[in-house]
Amino acid sequence: MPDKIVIRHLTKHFPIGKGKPDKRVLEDVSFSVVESSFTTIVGPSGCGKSTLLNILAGTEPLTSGDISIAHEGAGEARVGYVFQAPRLLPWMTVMDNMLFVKPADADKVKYRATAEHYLEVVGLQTEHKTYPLALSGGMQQRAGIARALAIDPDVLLMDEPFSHLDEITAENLRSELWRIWSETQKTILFVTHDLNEGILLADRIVVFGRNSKMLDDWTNELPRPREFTNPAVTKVMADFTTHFFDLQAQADREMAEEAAA
Amino acid sequence: MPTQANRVGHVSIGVQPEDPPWKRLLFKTVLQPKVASVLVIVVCWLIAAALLPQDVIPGPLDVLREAKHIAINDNPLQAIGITMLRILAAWAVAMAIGTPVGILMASGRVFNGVLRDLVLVFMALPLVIWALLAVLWFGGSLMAPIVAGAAVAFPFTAVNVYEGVASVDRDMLRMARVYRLPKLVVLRKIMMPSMMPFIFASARQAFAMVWKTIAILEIFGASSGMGWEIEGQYERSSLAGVFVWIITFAAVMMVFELAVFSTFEKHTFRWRPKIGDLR
Repeated sequence: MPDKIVIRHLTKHFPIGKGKPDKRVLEDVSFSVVESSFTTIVGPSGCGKSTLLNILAGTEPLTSGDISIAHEGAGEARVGYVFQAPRLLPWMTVMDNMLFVKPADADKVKYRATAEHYLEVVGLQTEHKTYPLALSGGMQQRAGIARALAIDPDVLLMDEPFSHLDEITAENLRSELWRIWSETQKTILFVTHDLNEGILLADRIVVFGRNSKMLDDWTNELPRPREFTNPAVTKVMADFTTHFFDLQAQADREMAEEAAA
Repeated sequence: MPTQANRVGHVSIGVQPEDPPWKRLLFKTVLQPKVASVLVIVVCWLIAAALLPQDVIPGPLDVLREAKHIAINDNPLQAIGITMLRILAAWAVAMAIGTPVGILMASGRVFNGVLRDLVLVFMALPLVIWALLAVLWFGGSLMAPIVAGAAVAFPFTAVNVYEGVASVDRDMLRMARVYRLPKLVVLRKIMMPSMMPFIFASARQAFAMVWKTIAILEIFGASSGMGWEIEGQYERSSLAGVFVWIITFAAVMMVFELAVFSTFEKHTFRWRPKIGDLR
């Protein structure tokens, strides 16, 4: 499979005021994401993982380096985005929330059919006319996923979409997401701070550190479906967690040395 | 006995299916908030009329007799009509000026600096000053109540609308940027609906400010309308007559509030879940 997302030497600094050094959010990050793959980015808060998604979504400028998303036709790549909170407009029905993000060049009738299809995929086929506040948190997030898929995105970016949900709902949605991914073959880049979630979902885990650098790039070869109850899965979770904390400690030491020098 | 779940689900409504008929009747008629508030006012009035001398608080019977006299000899509908016309015109102008001023205030530091001071000056002046100036400038024409009412009310509209713009959820705007939504769609589908509660608040407040201003203006600067009628009864030293017009005024405003604002509000906020609807 060809590369879908290519990130080369990406650096992002935020100015925080006159006379102060810029805050480093991303430091020389390079990796590519293969088409139709499922990649997660894990790391502590403030490591720049959400900023990376915002740069890919085109809502945040980068400082240096370059990024590209492969896509057909002219113009920019189409990005589907699932946020931490569902971000549905409460004054619109579920269906209107879907129709409202219709890309300007999409055919109205076709788009409606696609929207209906994805509402069915996420199990909301009977909720077209429901207002979001009458849905549970998990169902709202399903609608958010359907909305991101309805625009037929080149890539699907997900920023901790299940972190606000209770564990049972989150676990249901994870297996749903895995099913949706295998059916649609979308390229997914999924940010999370939950290592176990990364292991359950992804083919590949990219680790970011508090120093805003990429620390590791690990291929997850566990067979699917992956379940918490499987000892092989929990073994990988335990080993990976140890590895993750070693990497973070190493990064912290480097940061301290840099600050001293 | 109502079950526990049932109690929780209906606690704020007051009527439960298991209630005896007399209780249901009580809740559905007398204890309806609107009915109850009118009843409370009438009871207070009766007590006050019994305790205080006739020339301070006239009894309900005197007022009814006077009301009948006014209904037959004067033309109360015409007075109500002309006052409502003035109020609605001034209110429309206040909203038409206040809304864009509020949006401008929210759209940049320079506008905000200039307009904020201007709005504060307008807000600080007592409404009777505006009524006085408007009568001096425009005399008995329709312009006088429009200018006075609008000048008093538009600053409140502007401030409410400004708060409304400031309250728009930034996360929703970021979502709109991710999905590359055109500016006009963002304005119509995100900005306007999130501002609706503030627009309603400003419309209500502006309406109340306008009718207070116009009542005062009519008392000293007009030769028609409900305020002028109140002034006429005052000249005749008819306390019961003054009461008739005060009650009429209050009733008209209450009906307007119920008929117009509540209806629009129900429709605009139909997306809000009702109690018992939540899953």
